[in-house]
Amino acid sequence: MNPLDPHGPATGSPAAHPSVPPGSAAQTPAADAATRSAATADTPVGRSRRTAELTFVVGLVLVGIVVVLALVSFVWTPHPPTRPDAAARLEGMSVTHLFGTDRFGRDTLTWIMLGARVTLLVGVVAVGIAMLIGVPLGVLAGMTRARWLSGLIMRGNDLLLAFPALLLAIVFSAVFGPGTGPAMVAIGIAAIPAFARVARSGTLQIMGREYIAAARTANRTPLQIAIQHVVPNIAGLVIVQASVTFALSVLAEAGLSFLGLGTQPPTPSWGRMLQESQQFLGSRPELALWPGLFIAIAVLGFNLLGDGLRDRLDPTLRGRS
Amino acid sequence: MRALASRLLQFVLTVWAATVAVFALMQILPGNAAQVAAGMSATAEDVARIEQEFGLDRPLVVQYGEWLMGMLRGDLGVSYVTGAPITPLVVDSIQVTLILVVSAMVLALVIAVPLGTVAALLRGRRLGALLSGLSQVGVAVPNFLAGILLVMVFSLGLGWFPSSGWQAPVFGLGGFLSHLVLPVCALALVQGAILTRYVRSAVLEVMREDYLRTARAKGRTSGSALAVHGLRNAAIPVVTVAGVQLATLLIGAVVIEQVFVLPGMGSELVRAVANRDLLTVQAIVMVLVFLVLLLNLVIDLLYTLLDPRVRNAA
Amino acid sequence: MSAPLLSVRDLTISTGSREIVHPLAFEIAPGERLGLIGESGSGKSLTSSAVMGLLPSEMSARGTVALSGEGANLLERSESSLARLRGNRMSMVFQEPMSALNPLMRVGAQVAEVMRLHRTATRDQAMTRAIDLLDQVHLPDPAAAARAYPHQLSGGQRQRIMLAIALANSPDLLICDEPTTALDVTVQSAVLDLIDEQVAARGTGLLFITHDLAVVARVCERVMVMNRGRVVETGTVDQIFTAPQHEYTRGLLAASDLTATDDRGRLFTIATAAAYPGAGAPADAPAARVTGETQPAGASVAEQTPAAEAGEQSQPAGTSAVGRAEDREAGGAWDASGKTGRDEPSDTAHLIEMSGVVKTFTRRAGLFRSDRVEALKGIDLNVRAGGRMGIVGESGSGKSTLLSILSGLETPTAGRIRVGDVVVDPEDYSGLTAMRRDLQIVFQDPYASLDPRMSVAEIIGEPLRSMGLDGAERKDRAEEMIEAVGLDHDSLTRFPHQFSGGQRQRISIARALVTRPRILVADEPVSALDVSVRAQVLNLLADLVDEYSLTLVFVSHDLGVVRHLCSDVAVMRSGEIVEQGPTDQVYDDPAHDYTRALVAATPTIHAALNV
Repeated sequence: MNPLDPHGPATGSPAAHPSVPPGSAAQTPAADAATRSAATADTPVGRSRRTAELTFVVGLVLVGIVVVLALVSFVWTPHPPTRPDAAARLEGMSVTHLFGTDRFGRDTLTWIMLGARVTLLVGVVAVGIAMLIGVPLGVLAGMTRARWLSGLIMRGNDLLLAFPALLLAIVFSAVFGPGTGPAMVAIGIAAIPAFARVARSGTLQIMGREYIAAARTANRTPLQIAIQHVVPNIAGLVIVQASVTFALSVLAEAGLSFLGLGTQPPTPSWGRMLQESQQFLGSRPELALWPGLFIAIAVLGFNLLGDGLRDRLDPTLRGRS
Repeated sequence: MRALASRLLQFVLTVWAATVAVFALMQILPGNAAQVAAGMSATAEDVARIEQEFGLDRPLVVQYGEWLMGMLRGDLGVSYVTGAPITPLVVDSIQVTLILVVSAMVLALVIAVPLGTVAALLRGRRLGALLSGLSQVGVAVPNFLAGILLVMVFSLGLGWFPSSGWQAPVFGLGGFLSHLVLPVCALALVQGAILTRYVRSAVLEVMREDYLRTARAKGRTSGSALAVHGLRNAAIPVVTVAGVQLATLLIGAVVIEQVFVLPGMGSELVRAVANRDLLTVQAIVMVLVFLVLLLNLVIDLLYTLLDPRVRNAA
Repeated sequence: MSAPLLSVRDLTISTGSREIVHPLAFEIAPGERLGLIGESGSGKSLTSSAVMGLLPSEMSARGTVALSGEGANLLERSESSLARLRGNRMSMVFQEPMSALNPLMRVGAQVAEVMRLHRTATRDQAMTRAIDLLDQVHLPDPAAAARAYPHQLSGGQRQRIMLAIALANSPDLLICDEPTTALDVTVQSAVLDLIDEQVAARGTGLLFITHDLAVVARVCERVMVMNRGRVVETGTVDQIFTAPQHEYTRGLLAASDLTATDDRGRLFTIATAAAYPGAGAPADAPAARVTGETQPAGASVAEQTPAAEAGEQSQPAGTSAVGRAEDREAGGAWDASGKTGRDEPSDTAHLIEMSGVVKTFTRRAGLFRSDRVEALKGIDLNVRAGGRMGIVGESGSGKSTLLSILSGLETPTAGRIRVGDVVVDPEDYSGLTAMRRDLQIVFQDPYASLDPRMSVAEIIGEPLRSMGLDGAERKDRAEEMIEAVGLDHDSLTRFPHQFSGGQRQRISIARALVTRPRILVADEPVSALDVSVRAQVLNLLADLVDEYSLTLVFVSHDLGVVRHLCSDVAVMRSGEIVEQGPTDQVYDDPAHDYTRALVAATPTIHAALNV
């Protein structure tokens, strides 16, 4: 029994901010409270239905911008990415170079578009790893009646939580050498506990519902119950977590590339652009502003999308007929 | 007391498991650390010499045991690359990092508690929405970007503070503080935005509680009910989150130290990675992981202290 | 007549542009006790909150609320001037005792606070007075209680503390909003006695809000009935209960009266209430019905009454078409208490046998320690085929655990359960498969017992999937069952959130019966429902039990419901059966002290009126 909550289990939504691994102190009552409180950030208490809708739409638009940039870059970029214009180094904004150029004469807009690819790739792979491993583990921990098994899974989770995404990514780059691959795997592994926790708390909540007892008296096997009742009912929580984790991945990859330990040249990445801009802060501040702006757009977009989805999927906000 | 003992035991076990994990992670690499340390052009003899010198030719279990025993004595070993002991390096750099992180957290709380409370109270009004929106945007700004922006404005633009470097307090408090301001602000602004959202949601949550209605039924105005009965209850989740965030800040500082060229743990870690100095990486990572786990322990204990329900259940 | 203590005129409550409470007016004289009755959504709680100035911020109230000696309209007062009245001249006790106290503050301090706030006592005095008050609300060891935190106290104890807070400054008006709804009957009875006693001692005016007519009859002098934001009727308790004027009042009364049945042995619903003779009807009649000896007199055919406005309008009351037809064939061979004489199997072999069932839960309390809780301490219980076994008990009695074990959801620590030919063992999958063909459950919470992501057809068909029926067959059976429980065919394609609580329980029942089980186990199936809906669902259950010749195991905290529906009853307390036997015998002549206390504590309209 959770001593904190007289009304039953928490809603189990993940933290509102990506840099907060939801309930880093996993399994402890303190962490439960933290996640719970985060869960209500901007849930029905926080905002009306209309703002929820607005949040969702703005999030969708921001994410859409990044996705479109990445997709378009495959067929068209303002300038050829591989051939810098040596004559136009460190140029300001102009018609030919909408966002200006860097010290090698590379078109900033082109590089932003190519950087969007890496950003999205890292997010998709990291979220995919974390979700595919974390959710089954969480559901298993929530459904099993063997205490040692759920205990083992959650202790493992605790241990993994001691390695924040950026730290694990740095370690990976030390061991395997820097690169996009180790970075996304490391970020994905570091995010497993978040999914496992969300899936477990959601599962525990669902398992307490009478329709699970009804399914059991209808003689459904645990696997059938997991697939037909548990997973569909925690899907909303998992999707919200995926969105938040995506934002986290964007931040972690940008940080790692900023340190020079992530995506390696010549592949463009926003974090690296930001780092390279540092020596021109006095003369060409926009070199830092553009990649910074797009990192913020991506993170904000996925965060808002997560918030908006949480509200949309919350049945208390949907009118009961 | 029993619960305390069991929590402490759990802490010790987790730390031990973490040492195994960190050690194992470092051994995954095909080839070996001596090869890496000796460099690309090293001959087989060079590698063998390094292996022998640092005992890398012994079984892994023995190496792990020695590393673990060394750490228990406070000895993190000797770098294969520089040949210098690692412990003094960590001791020096950890001070910088801790000063940075702790002052940033204090500043973040000073920002977040009033703003979050106001944002909750003014929910549905224009100012509340503005605060809430600002915090949402603040959350999306990576701290190194915040650092760069601060440098642009306050260092390159206005020239108020140095754009990088560190000065120990013994060489003058003024210099120490002026070097500290921008990195601390970079961490604290982003952290403040995150915490503002938590404070806001904690206060909103508490405002919904039945006991707040009871307090009003007793004759308190809604404001005084919140101040007397609400805020202490709201503090519990906020303290918890602030603790968790402290761990996040610790890692976030790695990047900020790079932006401002500060001699903290992060800089040492990045340098060690660049030099492929695996034992130093291993040592610093272990220290950081230990700090994260220690913070979790402290939060739990603090939490038990704050909430009688947990205290009595324990 | 003296000036009224509280006078409410033209009170309307709205959220945005929607009016929830329509203009209403009432008065409470000093020391008078007014009951406010209504079902969920009637606006009764909002009305009381408006008087206290405690409406949720998204709601607004217009009209006049005047408290004697305070001059102006309370609705126009500022928060701070209103706050000076709250807890001082008027105070309030809320429904949910578990969350109404600040969890971080010692209970004594919370009682003392209300006196210090209104400067009716100094700091030291307030603490002494607080302990004194805790004594007055009959908390054992008040000094120790004052040092406790809320979570260390039970719900009943917390409600006593709320009452101590409310009464600390001897208010002129006490508002109680469903103060005993969350409590067990024996605790409810004690708390009601306490309210009675304290209000009388202080001469406090009382506004008592409840959905339970029996409770209001016991506590109040005058009653106001609310339905859908309007007051439909006001009068003295006697007037309302013996000669209700409004259709809704009559319906509510009829549906609440579990001892009164129509000529088919079914409970009255709002739709059939015209035939209800009234609670206070001939003095001997209620008593006679209670003992189950006479037929209800002169009840006319229910269907003739036009459907009343309340309840589930899409449902013709009395429902099951099939059941109804059969009843007519059977020629109304019912005795008054609703137990049929037919379908009595000649052999009285036990269909369910439980012997020596023990369940011990171990709860981990730290790394090396665990607490053991004995939920069941050796239960022996048999149910014969065709029997209707009621199991009553308060929270923590173990009745739900017993059901879980019976249905193979929990493993007993010791003991043997046989259902039909199957010995129930959760490890034995094929045994369970066979058993579950025979035994199905209807659950308590209509909002949690249906998977929100499944359509009604899928929900009802689910038990058939494990039996290997294909989609078409499942659809046919689901259609058949949805009709049997009185819902439209269209319902099958809809989702649970589109249905009301009562309708959901019908779906639950359909799911349970789709496998054509011999045994139906019902776990508090009506405790979450409003009174008017409760009667309909109980009637449906009774119809179906007859139609399908089911053996019924019915678990409830409500003695009245069990008495109406069951032929036999087992009374549980703390994991033991303290008494079992034929229902009438156990209720009328309880052998065990606890049964006696339980029967005495259960409020009934008749008992309240006859006192």
